[in-house]
Amino acid sequence: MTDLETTFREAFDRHSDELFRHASMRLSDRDRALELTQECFMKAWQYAAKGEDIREMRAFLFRTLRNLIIDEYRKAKSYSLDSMLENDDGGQVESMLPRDDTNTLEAAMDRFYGSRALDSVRKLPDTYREVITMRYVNHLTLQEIAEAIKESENVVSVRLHRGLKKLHELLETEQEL
Amino acid sequence: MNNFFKQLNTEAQNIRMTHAERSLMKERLLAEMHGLTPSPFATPSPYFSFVMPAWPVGRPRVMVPALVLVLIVVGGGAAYAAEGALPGDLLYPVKVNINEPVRSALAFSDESKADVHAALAVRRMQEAETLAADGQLTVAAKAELATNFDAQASEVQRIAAVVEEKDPVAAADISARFASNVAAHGAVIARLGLNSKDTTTRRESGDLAVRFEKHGQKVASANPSTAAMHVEGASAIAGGIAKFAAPSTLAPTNAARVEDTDDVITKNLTDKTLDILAETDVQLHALSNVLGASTTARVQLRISDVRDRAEGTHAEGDAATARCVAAQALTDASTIRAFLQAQQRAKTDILPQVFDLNDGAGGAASVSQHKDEKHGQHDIVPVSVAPTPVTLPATNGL
Repeated sequence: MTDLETTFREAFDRHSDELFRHASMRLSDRDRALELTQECFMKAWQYAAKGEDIREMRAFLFRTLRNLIIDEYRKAKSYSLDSMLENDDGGQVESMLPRDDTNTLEAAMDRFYGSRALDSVRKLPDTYREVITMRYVNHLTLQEIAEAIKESENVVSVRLHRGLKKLHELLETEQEL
Repeated sequence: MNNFFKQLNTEAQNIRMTHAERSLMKERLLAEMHGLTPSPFATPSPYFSFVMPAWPVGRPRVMVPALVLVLIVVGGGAAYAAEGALPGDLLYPVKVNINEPVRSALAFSDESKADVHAALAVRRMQEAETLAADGQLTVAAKAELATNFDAQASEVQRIAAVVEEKDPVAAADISARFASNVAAHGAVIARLGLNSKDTTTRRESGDLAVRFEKHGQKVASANPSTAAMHVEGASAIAGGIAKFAAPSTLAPTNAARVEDTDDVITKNLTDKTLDILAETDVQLHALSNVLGASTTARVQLRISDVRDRAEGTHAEGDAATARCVAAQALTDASTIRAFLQAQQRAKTDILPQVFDLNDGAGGAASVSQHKDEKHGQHDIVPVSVAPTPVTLPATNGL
Protein backbone atom coordinates (compact mmCIF):
# COMPACT_ATOMS: atom_id res chain seq x y z
CA MET A 1 0.00 0.00 0.00
CA THR A 2 1.40 3.36 -0.92
CA ASP A 3 1.73 6.25 1.50
CA LEU A 4 -0.91 8.18 -0.32
CA GLU A 5 -3.34 5.31 -0.04
CA THR A 6 -2.73 5.01 3.68
CA THR A 7 -3.23 8.74 4.05
CA PHE A 8 -6.54 8.56 2.28
CA ARG A 9 -7.75 5.53 4.14
CA GLU A 10 -7.06 7.34 7.37
CA ALA A 11 -8.63 10.52 6.07
CA PHE A 12 -11.77 8.57 5.26
CA ASP A 13 -11.92 6.95 8.66
CA ARG A 14 -11.35 10.22 10.39
CA HIS A 15 -13.47 12.62 8.36
CA SER A 16 -16.20 10.75 6.52
CA ASP A 17 -18.77 11.12 9.27
CA GLU A 18 -18.24 14.82 9.85
CA LEU A 19 -18.30 15.56 6.16
CA PHE A 20 -21.54 13.64 5.85
CA ARG A 21 -22.86 15.56 8.83
CA HIS A 22 -22.03 18.85 7.15
CA ALA A 23 -23.64 17.81 3.89
CA SER A 24 -26.77 16.69 5.73
CA MET A 25 -27.08 20.06 7.40
CA ARG A 26 -26.79 21.85 4.10
CA LEU A 27 -28.95 19.60 1.95
CA SER A 28 -32.36 18.21 2.66
CA ASP A 29 -31.86 14.95 0.81
CA ARG A 30 -29.95 12.32 2.74
CA ASP A 31 -29.10 10.28 -0.33
CA ARG A 32 -27.61 13.31 -2.01
CA ALA A 33 -25.62 14.03 1.12
CA LEU A 34 -24.21 10.51 0.91
CA GLU A 35 -23.36 10.86 -2.73
CA LEU A 36 -21.70 14.21 -2.28
CA THR A 37 -19.63 12.91 0.60
CA GLN A 38 -18.44 10.09 -1.59
CA GLU A 39 -17.79 12.41 -4.51
CA CYS A 40 -15.79 14.62 -2.20
CA PHE A 41 -13.37 11.83 -1.37
CA MET A 42 -13.16 10.71 -4.96
CA LYS A 43 -12.27 14.19 -6.13
CA ALA A 44 -9.74 14.63 -3.37
CA TRP A 45 -8.13 11.38 -4.37
CA GLN A 46 -8.00 12.33 -8.03
CA TYR A 47 -6.40 15.60 -7.10
CA ALA A 48 -3.76 13.91 -4.99
CA ALA A 49 -3.18 11.15 -7.50
CA LYS A 50 -2.29 13.77 -10.07
CA GLY A 51 0.67 14.64 -7.90
CA GLU A 52 -0.78 17.73 -6.22
CA ASP A 53 0.09 18.30 -2.63
CA ILE A 54 -2.59 18.53 0.05
CA ARG A 55 -1.32 20.34 3.09
CA GLU A 56 -4.34 20.50 5.34
CA MET A 57 -6.47 17.44 4.64
CA ARG A 58 -9.45 18.39 6.73
CA ALA A 59 -9.76 21.90 5.36
CA PHE A 60 -9.19 20.60 1.85
CA LEU A 61 -11.94 18.05 2.18
CA PHE A 62 -14.34 20.62 3.55
CA ARG A 63 -13.47 22.96 0.74
CA THR A 64 -14.08 20.27 -1.84
CA LEU A 65 -17.36 19.36 -0.21
CA ARG A 66 -18.63 22.89 -0.02
CA ASN A 67 -17.85 23.41 -3.69
CA LEU A 68 -19.88 20.34 -4.51
CA ILE A 69 -22.68 21.72 -2.38
CA ILE A 70 -22.55 25.01 -4.24
CA ASP A 71 -22.82 23.12 -7.52
CA GLU A 72 -25.77 21.27 -6.08
CA TYR A 73 -27.52 24.53 -5.21
CA ARG A 74 -26.93 25.89 -8.68
CA LYS A 75 -28.62 22.87 -10.14
CA ALA A 76 -31.50 23.12 -7.70
CA LYS A 77 -32.15 26.78 -8.52
CA SER A 78 -34.29 25.73 -11.40
CA TYR A 79 -36.78 24.16 -9.00
CA SER A 80 -39.36 26.26 -7.30
CA LEU A 81 -38.92 27.09 -3.67
CA ASP A 82 -41.99 25.06 -2.85
CA SER A 83 -40.67 21.87 -4.29
CA MET A 84 -37.45 22.35 -2.40
CA LEU A 85 -39.35 22.73 0.82
CA GLU A 86 -41.34 19.62 0.07
CA ASN A 87 -38.12 17.67 -0.21
CA ASP A 88 -37.23 18.66 3.29
CA ASP A 89 -37.76 15.62 5.47
CA GLY A 90 -37.98 17.75 8.56
CA GLY A 91 -34.37 17.28 9.43
CA GLN A 92 -34.74 13.69 10.51
CA VAL A 93 -31.60 12.49 8.88
CA GLU A 94 -30.30 10.72 11.94
CA SER A 95 -29.06 7.22 11.44
CA MET A 96 -29.71 4.39 13.82
CA LEU A 97 -27.14 5.37 16.41
CA PRO A 98 -28.51 7.54 19.21
CA ARG A 99 -25.77 8.89 21.39
CA ASP A 100 -27.44 9.37 24.74
CA ASP A 101 -28.48 6.18 26.37
CA THR A 102 -30.44 7.60 29.22
CA ASN A 103 -34.19 7.69 29.06
CA THR A 104 -34.62 10.45 31.55
CA LEU A 105 -36.85 13.42 31.03
CA GLU A 106 -33.77 15.57 30.80
CA ALA A 107 -32.42 13.56 27.92
CA ALA A 108 -35.78 13.72 26.18
CA MET A 109 -35.90 17.46 26.60
CA ASP A 110 -32.39 17.81 25.28
CA ARG A 111 -33.35 15.84 22.22
CA PHE A 112 -36.43 17.97 21.71
CA TYR A 113 -34.50 21.21 21.95
CA GLY A 114 -31.68 19.68 20.03
CA SER A 115 -33.82 18.92 17.04
CA ARG A 116 -35.30 22.38 17.19
CA ALA A 117 -31.79 23.75 17.33
CA LEU A 118 -30.92 21.75 14.23
CA ASP A 119 -34.00 23.09 12.46
CA SER A 120 -33.21 26.67 13.27
CA VAL A 121 -29.68 26.33 11.94
CA ARG A 122 -31.14 24.80 8.81
CA LYS A 123 -33.37 27.84 8.40
CA LEU A 124 -30.44 30.24 8.31
CA PRO A 125 -29.44 31.84 5.03
CA ASP A 126 -26.85 29.61 3.48
CA THR A 127 -23.81 31.85 3.88
CA TYR A 128 -24.35 31.90 7.62
CA ARG A 129 -25.48 28.30 7.81
CA GLU A 130 -22.26 27.20 6.19
CA VAL A 131 -19.96 28.79 8.72
CA ILE A 132 -22.16 28.13 11.75
CA THR A 133 -22.28 24.45 10.85
CA MET A 134 -18.56 24.28 10.26
CA ARG A 135 -17.87 25.97 13.56
CA TYR A 136 -20.44 24.58 15.96
CA VAL A 137 -21.28 21.21 14.45
CA ASN A 138 -18.07 20.20 12.75
CA HIS A 139 -15.81 22.09 15.16
CA LEU A 140 -13.45 23.45 12.58
CA THR A 141 -11.02 26.10 13.70
CA LEU A 142 -11.32 29.62 12.36
CA GLN A 143 -8.29 28.97 10.24
CA GLU A 144 -9.73 25.76 8.81
CA ILE A 145 -12.99 27.47 7.94
CA ALA A 146 -11.10 30.28 6.27
CA GLU A 147 -9.18 27.67 4.25
CA ALA A 148 -12.36 25.88 3.31
CA ILE A 149 -14.37 28.84 2.10
CA LYS A 150 -11.43 30.74 0.73
CA GLU A 151 -11.96 33.88 2.75
CA SER A 152 -9.87 35.61 5.36
CA GLU A 153 -10.25 34.72 9.00
CA ASN A 154 -11.67 38.19 9.52
CA VAL A 155 -14.46 37.55 7.09
CA VAL A 156 -15.19 34.24 8.78
CA SER A 157 -15.32 35.95 12.14
CA VAL A 158 -17.73 38.59 10.93
CA ARG A 159 -19.89 36.06 9.20
CA LEU A 160 -20.09 33.92 12.31
CA HIS A 161 -21.04 36.91 14.37
CA ARG A 162 -23.77 37.93 11.96
CA GLY A 163 -24.92 34.34 11.73
CA LEU A 164 -25.28 34.12 15.47
CA LYS A 165 -27.30 37.33 15.48
CA LYS A 166 -29.57 35.94 12.81
CA LEU A 167 -29.93 32.73 14.78
CA HIS A 168 -30.88 34.70 17.83
CA GLU A 169 -33.54 36.50 15.82
CA LEU A 170 -34.89 33.23 14.51
CA LEU A 171 -35.12 31.75 17.96
CA GLU A 172 -36.83 34.82 19.39
CA THR A 173 -39.49 34.91 16.68
CA GLU A 174 -40.09 31.21 17.23
CA GLN A 175 -40.65 31.72 20.90
CA GLU A 176 -43.12 34.44 20.20
CA LEU A 177 -45.28 32.05 18.18
CA MET B 1 -27.11 30.35 24.13
CA ASN B 2 -24.56 27.98 25.60
CA ASN B 3 -27.21 25.41 26.19
CA PHE B 4 -28.37 25.89 22.65
CA PHE B 5 -25.04 24.92 21.20
CA LYS B 6 -24.67 22.00 23.53
CA GLN B 7 -28.03 20.65 22.46
CA LEU B 8 -27.34 21.44 18.84
CA ASN B 9 -24.08 19.57 18.98
CA THR B 10 -25.49 16.54 20.74
CA GLU B 11 -28.33 16.25 18.30
CA ALA B 12 -26.12 16.88 15.32
CA GLN B 13 -23.73 14.13 16.38
CA ASN B 14 -26.56 11.71 15.73
CA ILE B 15 -26.34 12.54 12.08
CA ARG B 16 -24.07 9.97 10.58
CA MET B 17 -23.86 7.23 8.08
CA THR B 18 -24.96 3.74 8.95
CA HIS B 19 -22.21 1.22 9.18
CA ALA B 20 -23.34 -0.31 5.93
CA GLU B 21 -23.29 3.01 4.13
CA ARG B 22 -19.83 3.81 5.34
CA SER B 23 -18.47 0.42 4.35
CA LEU B 24 -19.94 0.72 0.91
CA MET B 25 -18.50 4.17 0.46
CA LYS B 26 -15.09 3.06 1.63
CA GLU B 27 -15.18 0.12 -0.70
CA ARG B 28 -15.91 2.37 -3.63
CA LEU B 29 -13.20 4.77 -2.62
CA LEU B 30 -10.70 1.94 -2.40
CA ALA B 31 -11.78 0.68 -5.79
CA GLU B 32 -11.16 4.12 -7.17
CA MET B 33 -7.78 4.21 -5.53
CA HIS B 34 -6.78 0.85 -6.94
CA GLY B 35 -6.69 1.82 -10.52
CA LEU B 36 -10.12 2.58 -11.80
CA THR B 37 -9.48 5.90 -13.42
CA PRO B 38 -12.11 8.59 -13.07
CA SER B 39 -14.38 10.25 -15.54
CA PRO B 40 -13.48 13.65 -16.94
CA PHE B 41 -17.02 14.84 -16.28
CA ALA B 42 -18.07 16.21 -12.93
CA THR B 43 -20.68 13.55 -12.31
CA PRO B 44 -22.67 13.24 -9.12
CA SER B 45 -22.78 9.47 -9.04
CA PRO B 46 -19.81 7.13 -8.77
CA TYR B 47 -21.54 4.76 -11.10
CA PHE B 48 -20.70 7.01 -13.97
CA SER B 49 -16.98 6.84 -13.55
CA PHE B 50 -16.16 4.27 -16.13
CA VAL B 51 -14.81 6.30 -19.00
CA MET B 52 -11.08 6.28 -19.73
CA PRO B 53 -9.45 9.60 -18.96
CA ALA B 54 -5.92 10.84 -19.41
CA TRP B 55 -4.53 10.56 -15.89
CA PRO B 56 -0.89 9.64 -16.06
CA VAL B 57 -1.09 8.05 -12.64
CA GLY B 58 -3.03 4.88 -12.08
CA ARG B 59 -3.66 1.90 -14.27
CA PRO B 60 -5.99 2.36 -17.22
CA ARG B 61 -9.11 0.32 -17.05
CA VAL B 62 -11.10 -1.29 -19.79
CA MET B 63 -14.41 0.43 -20.31
CA VAL B 64 -17.45 -1.64 -19.61
CA PRO B 65 -19.81 -0.32 -22.28
CA ALA B 66 -22.95 -2.28 -21.56
CA LEU B 67 -22.77 -1.45 -17.89
CA VAL B 68 -22.26 2.23 -18.65
CA LEU B 69 -25.46 2.41 -20.67
CA VAL B 70 -27.43 0.56 -18.08
CA LEU B 71 -26.04 2.66 -15.25
CA ILE B 72 -26.87 5.90 -16.99
CA VAL B 73 -30.43 4.68 -17.26
CA VAL B 74 -30.65 3.62 -13.66
CA GLY B 75 -29.09 6.71 -12.14
CA GLY B 76 -27.56 7.39 -8.78
CA GLY B 77 -30.58 7.66 -6.51
CA ALA B 78 -32.17 4.41 -7.59
CA ALA B 79 -28.85 2.65 -7.31
CA TYR B 80 -28.51 3.67 -3.69
CA ALA B 81 -32.13 2.84 -2.95
CA ALA B 82 -31.73 -0.60 -4.48
CA GLU B 83 -29.08 -1.53 -1.95
CA GLY B 84 -31.71 -2.34 0.65
CA ALA B 85 -33.92 -4.39 -1.65
CA LEU B 86 -34.99 -7.94 -0.90
CA PRO B 87 -36.08 -10.74 -3.24
CA GLY B 88 -39.53 -9.79 -4.47
CA ASP B 89 -38.90 -6.05 -4.29
CA LEU B 90 -39.08 -3.96 -7.41
CA LEU B 91 -35.49 -2.80 -7.15
CA TYR B 92 -34.01 -6.19 -6.29
CA PRO B 93 -33.00 -6.93 -9.89
CA VAL B 94 -31.20 -3.59 -9.94
CA LYS B 95 -29.31 -4.59 -6.84
CA VAL B 96 -28.28 -8.01 -8.05
CA ASN B 97 -27.88 -7.52 -11.77
CA ILE B 98 -26.58 -3.98 -11.93
CA ASN B 99 -25.06 -2.79 -8.68
CA GLU B 100 -23.32 -6.01 -7.76
CA PRO B 101 -21.58 -6.74 -11.06
CA VAL B 102 -20.19 -3.23 -10.79
CA ARG B 103 -18.58 -4.17 -7.51
CA SER B 104 -16.88 -7.21 -8.92
CA ALA B 105 -15.84 -5.28 -12.01
CA LEU B 106 -14.22 -2.72 -9.77
CA ALA B 107 -12.21 -5.33 -7.92
CA PHE B 108 -8.76 -5.50 -9.40
CA SER B 109 -6.70 -8.03 -7.49
CA ASP B 110 -7.66 -11.63 -6.90
CA GLU B 111 -7.90 -11.03 -3.19
CA SER B 112 -10.33 -8.18 -3.57
CA LYS B 113 -12.33 -10.17 -6.11
CA ALA B 114 -12.64 -12.94 -3.56
CA ASP B 115 -13.66 -10.36 -0.98
CA VAL B 116 -16.38 -9.00 -3.23
CA HIS B 117 -17.85 -12.43 -3.93
CA ALA B 118 -17.65 -13.38 -0.29
CA ALA B 119 -19.43 -10.15 0.60
CA LEU B 120 -22.12 -10.84 -1.95
CA ALA B 121 -22.61 -14.35 -0.62
CA VAL B 122 -23.00 -12.86 2.85
CA ARG B 123 -25.54 -10.44 1.45
CA ARG B 124 -27.65 -13.34 0.19
CA MET B 125 -27.53 -14.84 3.63
CA GLN B 126 -28.54 -11.57 5.24
CA GLU B 127 -31.41 -11.17 2.83
CA ALA B 128 -32.53 -14.65 3.73
CA GLU B 129 -32.32 -13.75 7.42
CA THR B 130 -34.42 -10.65 6.97
CA LEU B 131 -37.05 -12.58 5.07
CA ALA B 132 -36.99 -15.39 7.60
CA ALA B 133 -37.38 -12.98 10.48
CA ASP B 134 -40.49 -11.55 8.86
CA GLY B 135 -41.86 -14.97 8.00
CA GLN B 136 -41.57 -14.13 4.30
CA LEU B 137 -39.13 -16.73 3.06
CA THR B 138 -41.08 -18.21 0.19
CA VAL B 139 -40.01 -21.13 -1.97
CA ALA B 140 -39.30 -18.79 -4.87
CA ALA B 141 -37.28 -16.37 -2.78
CA LYS B 142 -35.22 -19.14 -1.29
CA ALA B 143 -34.54 -20.64 -4.69
CA GLU B 144 -33.33 -17.31 -5.99
CA LEU B 145 -31.15 -16.74 -2.98
CA ALA B 146 -29.75 -20.24 -3.03
CA THR B 147 -28.77 -20.06 -6.69
CA ASN B 148 -27.00 -16.77 -6.31
CA PHE B 149 -25.34 -17.85 -3.09
CA ASP B 150 -24.04 -21.00 -4.74
CA ALA B 151 -22.61 -18.95 -7.59
CA GLN B 152 -20.87 -16.52 -5.27
CA ALA B 153 -19.54 -19.21 -2.97
CA SER B 154 -18.17 -21.19 -5.89
CA GLU B 155 -16.36 -18.09 -7.08
CA VAL B 156 -14.80 -17.59 -3.69
CA GLN B 157 -13.63 -21.16 -3.70
CA ARG B 158 -12.25 -20.93 -7.19
CA ILE B 159 -10.35 -17.73 -6.50
CA ALA B 160 -9.04 -19.03 -3.20
CA ALA B 161 -7.57 -21.97 -5.07
CA VAL B 162 -5.87 -19.62 -7.52
CA VAL B 163 -4.53 -17.45 -4.73
CA GLU B 164 -3.28 -20.54 -2.89
CA GLU B 165 -0.63 -20.94 -5.59
CA LYS B 166 1.11 -17.70 -4.96
CA ASP B 167 0.13 -16.65 -1.48
CA PRO B 168 -1.03 -19.40 0.88
CA VAL B 169 -1.44 -16.98 3.75
CA ALA B 170 -3.85 -14.81 1.82
CA ALA B 171 -5.73 -17.89 0.64
CA ALA B 172 -6.06 -19.14 4.19
CA ASP B 173 -7.31 -15.73 5.16
CA ILE B 174 -9.97 -15.75 2.48
CA SER B 175 -11.11 -19.28 3.27
CA ALA B 176 -11.15 -18.81 7.01
CA ARG B 177 -13.10 -15.60 6.90
CA PHE B 178 -15.59 -16.95 4.43
CA ALA B 179 -16.09 -20.22 6.25
CA SER B 180 -16.64 -18.41 9.53
CA ASN B 181 -19.11 -16.00 7.95
CA VAL B 182 -21.05 -18.83 6.39
CA ALA B 183 -21.10 -20.69 9.68
CA ALA B 184 -22.24 -17.59 11.48
CA HIS B 185 -25.07 -16.79 9.16
CA GLY B 186 -26.06 -20.42 8.90
CA ALA B 187 -26.59 -20.35 12.64
CA VAL B 188 -28.71 -17.23 12.44
CA ILE B 189 -30.94 -18.42 9.68
CA ALA B 190 -31.37 -21.79 11.29
CA ARG B 191 -32.52 -20.15 14.50
CA LEU B 192 -34.72 -17.59 12.79
CA GLY B 193 -36.39 -20.30 10.78
CA LEU B 194 -37.09 -22.43 13.80
CA ASN B 195 -38.72 -19.55 15.59
CA SER B 196 -40.90 -18.61 12.68
CA LYS B 197 -44.63 -19.15 12.78
CA ASP B 198 -44.82 -19.51 9.03
CA THR B 199 -44.36 -23.13 7.98
CA THR B 200 -42.96 -22.31 4.56
CA THR B 201 -40.39 -20.08 6.15
CA ARG B 202 -39.48 -22.76 8.64
CA ARG B 203 -38.95 -25.33 5.96
CA GLU B 204 -37.13 -23.12 3.51
CA SER B 205 -34.79 -21.60 6.03
CA GLY B 206 -33.94 -25.00 7.37
CA ASP B 207 -33.05 -26.00 3.86
CA LEU B 208 -30.91 -22.94 3.43
CA ALA B 209 -29.13 -23.47 6.70
CA VAL B 210 -28.12 -26.96 5.67
CA ARG B 211 -27.02 -25.70 2.29
CA PHE B 212 -24.88 -23.00 3.88
CA GLU B 213 -23.35 -25.60 6.10
CA LYS B 214 -22.37 -27.71 3.12
CA HIS B 215 -20.79 -24.79 1.37
CA GLY B 216 -18.92 -23.71 4.43
CA GLN B 217 -17.51 -27.19 4.69
CA LYS B 218 -16.52 -27.20 1.05
CA VAL B 219 -14.66 -23.94 1.23
CA ALA B 220 -12.94 -24.79 4.45
CA SER B 221 -11.84 -28.26 3.40
CA ALA B 222 -10.74 -27.20 -0.06
CA ASN B 223 -7.97 -25.15 1.41
CA PRO B 224 -5.46 -27.36 3.20
CA SER B 225 -4.50 -24.73 5.72
CA THR B 226 -8.05 -24.26 6.89
CA ALA B 227 -8.84 -27.93 6.94
CA ALA B 228 -7.35 -27.80 10.40
CA MET B 229 -10.39 -25.81 11.40
CA HIS B 230 -12.50 -28.91 11.23
CA VAL B 231 -13.54 -30.06 14.58
CA GLU B 232 -15.11 -33.36 15.56
CA GLY B 233 -17.16 -35.71 13.47
CA ALA B 234 -20.52 -36.12 11.89
CA SER B 235 -22.76 -33.86 13.90
CA ALA B 236 -20.37 -30.92 13.97
CA ILE B 237 -20.67 -28.16 11.47
CA ALA B 238 -17.91 -26.69 9.33
CA GLY B 239 -15.73 -24.29 11.20
CA GLY B 240 -17.67 -25.13 14.32
CA ILE B 241 -20.91 -23.20 14.21
CA ALA B 242 -21.45 -21.27 17.37
CA LYS B 243 -19.73 -23.85 19.45
CA PHE B 244 -18.61 -21.62 22.22
CA ALA B 245 -16.47 -24.40 23.52
CA ALA B 246 -13.35 -24.24 25.59
CA PRO B 247 -10.21 -24.30 23.47
CA SER B 248 -8.93 -27.53 24.95
CA THR B 249 -11.68 -29.53 23.29
CA LEU B 250 -10.45 -28.58 19.83
CA ALA B 251 -8.17 -31.08 18.18
CA PRO B 252 -6.21 -30.04 15.10
CA THR B 253 -6.50 -32.65 12.39
CA ASN B 254 -3.96 -31.29 10.01
CA ALA B 255 -0.67 -30.12 11.42
CA ALA B 256 1.26 -30.20 8.19
CA ARG B 257 1.97 -26.47 7.78
CA VAL B 258 5.21 -24.68 8.46
CA GLU B 259 5.17 -22.78 11.75
CA ASP B 260 5.91 -19.40 10.23
CA THR B 261 2.88 -19.47 7.96
CA ASP B 262 0.76 -20.65 10.83
CA ASP B 263 1.79 -17.74 12.97
CA VAL B 264 0.97 -15.22 10.28
CA ILE B 265 -2.37 -16.85 9.59
CA THR B 266 -3.18 -16.98 13.27
CA LYS B 267 -2.33 -13.35 13.69
CA ASN B 268 -4.53 -12.40 10.74
CA LEU B 269 -7.41 -14.39 12.12
CA THR B 270 -6.98 -12.84 15.54
CA ASP B 271 -6.78 -9.31 14.16
CA LYS B 272 -9.90 -9.91 12.15
CA THR B 273 -11.67 -11.31 15.19
CA LEU B 274 -10.81 -8.29 17.29
CA ASP B 275 -12.03 -5.99 14.51
CA ILE B 276 -15.31 -7.83 14.39
CA LEU B 277 -15.65 -7.66 18.15
CA ALA B 278 -15.13 -3.91 18.03
CA GLU B 279 -18.01 -3.80 15.58
CA THR B 280 -20.18 -5.91 17.84
CA ASP B 281 -19.48 -3.54 20.72
CA VAL B 282 -20.88 -0.68 18.66
CA GLN B 283 -23.79 -2.75 17.42
CA LEU B 284 -24.64 -3.88 20.90
CA HIS B 285 -24.52 -0.37 22.24
CA ALA B 286 -26.87 0.77 19.52
CA LEU B 287 -29.26 -2.06 20.23
CA SER B 288 -29.13 -1.90 24.01
CA ASN B 289 -32.44 -0.04 24.17
CA VAL B 290 -34.14 -2.66 22.07
CA LEU B 291 -32.61 -5.65 23.80
CA GLY B 292 -33.05 -4.67 27.40
CA ALA B 293 -30.53 -4.93 30.18
CA SER B 294 -30.27 -8.64 30.74
CA THR B 295 -29.99 -9.70 27.11
CA THR B 296 -27.44 -6.96 26.55
CA ALA B 297 -25.45 -8.21 29.51
CA ARG B 298 -25.48 -11.75 28.23
CA VAL B 299 -24.31 -10.71 24.81
CA GLN B 300 -21.63 -8.58 26.42
CA LEU B 301 -20.45 -11.60 28.35
CA ARG B 302 -20.29 -13.60 25.18
CA ILE B 303 -18.28 -10.89 23.43
CA SER B 304 -15.83 -10.74 26.32
CA ASP B 305 -15.41 -14.46 26.25
CA VAL B 306 -14.56 -14.49 22.57
CA ARG B 307 -12.23 -11.57 23.04
CA ASP B 308 -10.38 -13.37 25.80
CA ARG B 309 -9.95 -16.40 23.64
CA ALA B 310 -8.78 -14.37 20.67
CA GLU B 311 -6.25 -12.52 22.75
CA GLY B 312 -5.06 -15.72 24.32
CA THR B 313 -4.17 -17.51 21.11
CA HIS B 314 -0.52 -16.63 21.30
CA ALA B 315 -0.35 -18.42 24.61
CA GLU B 316 -1.17 -21.68 22.92
CA GLY B 317 1.65 -24.18 22.77
CA ASP B 318 1.85 -25.29 19.21
CA ALA B 319 1.13 -23.27 16.11
CA ALA B 320 -1.58 -25.53 14.72
CA THR B 321 -3.62 -25.42 17.92
CA ALA B 322 -3.26 -21.67 18.03
CA ARG B 323 -4.64 -21.46 14.54
CA CYS B 324 -7.59 -23.63 15.49
CA VAL B 325 -8.34 -21.51 18.49
CA ALA B 326 -8.07 -18.35 16.42
CA ALA B 327 -10.35 -19.75 13.73
CA GLN B 328 -12.93 -20.77 16.31
CA ALA B 329 -12.82 -17.32 17.86
CA LEU B 330 -13.31 -15.77 14.45
CA THR B 331 -16.33 -17.92 13.79
CA ASP B 332 -17.83 -17.09 17.16
CA ALA B 333 -17.25 -13.39 16.68
CA SER B 334 -18.79 -13.56 13.23
CA THR B 335 -21.79 -15.35 14.66
CA ILE B 336 -22.39 -12.70 17.27
CA ARG B 337 -22.10 -10.02 14.66
CA ALA B 338 -24.44 -11.84 12.32
CA PHE B 339 -27.07 -12.16 15.04
CA LEU B 340 -26.79 -8.49 15.92
CA GLN B 341 -27.02 -7.49 12.28
CA ALA B 342 -30.12 -9.59 11.91
CA GLN B 343 -31.65 -7.80 14.86
CA GLN B 344 -30.72 -4.42 13.44
CA ARG B 345 -32.46 -5.19 10.21
CA ALA B 346 -35.47 -6.98 11.59
CA LYS B 347 -38.69 -5.03 11.81
CA THR B 348 -39.76 -6.90 14.89
CA ASP B 349 -37.96 -7.76 18.03
CA ILE B 350 -36.32 -11.08 17.29
CA LEU B 351 -33.18 -11.35 19.35
CA PRO B 352 -34.40 -12.61 22.69
CA GLN B 353 -35.50 -15.78 20.94
CA VAL B 354 -32.69 -15.78 18.43
CA PHE B 355 -29.91 -15.16 20.83
CA ASP B 356 -30.53 -18.28 22.77
CA LEU B 357 -27.07 -18.57 24.18
CA ASN B 358 -28.34 -20.81 26.88
CA ASP B 359 -28.04 -23.98 24.88
CA GLY B 360 -24.50 -22.98 24.06
CA ALA B 361 -24.72 -23.54 20.37
CA GLY B 362 -27.80 -21.65 19.20
CA GLY B 363 -27.00 -22.48 15.64
CA ALA B 364 -25.64 -25.96 15.91
CA ALA B 365 -28.64 -27.18 17.78
CA SER B 366 -30.91 -25.43 15.30
CA VAL B 367 -29.26 -26.86 12.22
CA SER B 368 -29.30 -30.33 13.71
CA GLN B 369 -32.90 -29.79 14.65
CA HIS B 370 -33.74 -28.88 11.10
CA LYS B 371 -31.98 -31.98 9.84
CA ASP B 372 -33.84 -34.14 12.32
CA GLU B 373 -37.14 -32.61 11.39
CA LYS B 374 -36.47 -33.54 7.83
CA HIS B 375 -35.97 -37.13 8.85
CA GLY B 376 -38.99 -37.17 11.08
CA GLN B 377 -37.12 -37.31 14.35
CA HIS B 378 -37.54 -34.82 17.11
CA ASP B 379 -34.57 -35.25 19.36
CA ILE B 380 -32.15 -32.39 19.39
CA VAL B 381 -28.57 -33.51 19.08
CA PRO B 382 -26.91 -32.33 22.28
CA VAL B 383 -24.00 -30.00 21.79
CA SER B 384 -21.60 -28.61 24.35
CA VAL B 385 -23.00 -25.87 26.53
CA ALA B 386 -21.76 -22.39 27.15
CA PRO B 387 -19.36 -22.02 30.05
CA THR B 388 -21.67 -19.68 31.94
CA PRO B 389 -25.27 -20.81 31.75
CA VAL B 390 -27.73 -17.95 32.13
CA THR B 391 -31.47 -18.03 32.21
CA LEU B 392 -33.63 -16.48 29.54
CA PRO B 393 -35.46 -13.27 30.41
CA ALA B 394 -39.12 -13.84 31.10
CA THR B 395 -40.21 -10.95 28.93
CA ASN B 396 -39.38 -10.33 25.31
CA GLY B 397 -36.64 -7.75 25.18
CA LEU B 398 -37.63 -4.64 27.09
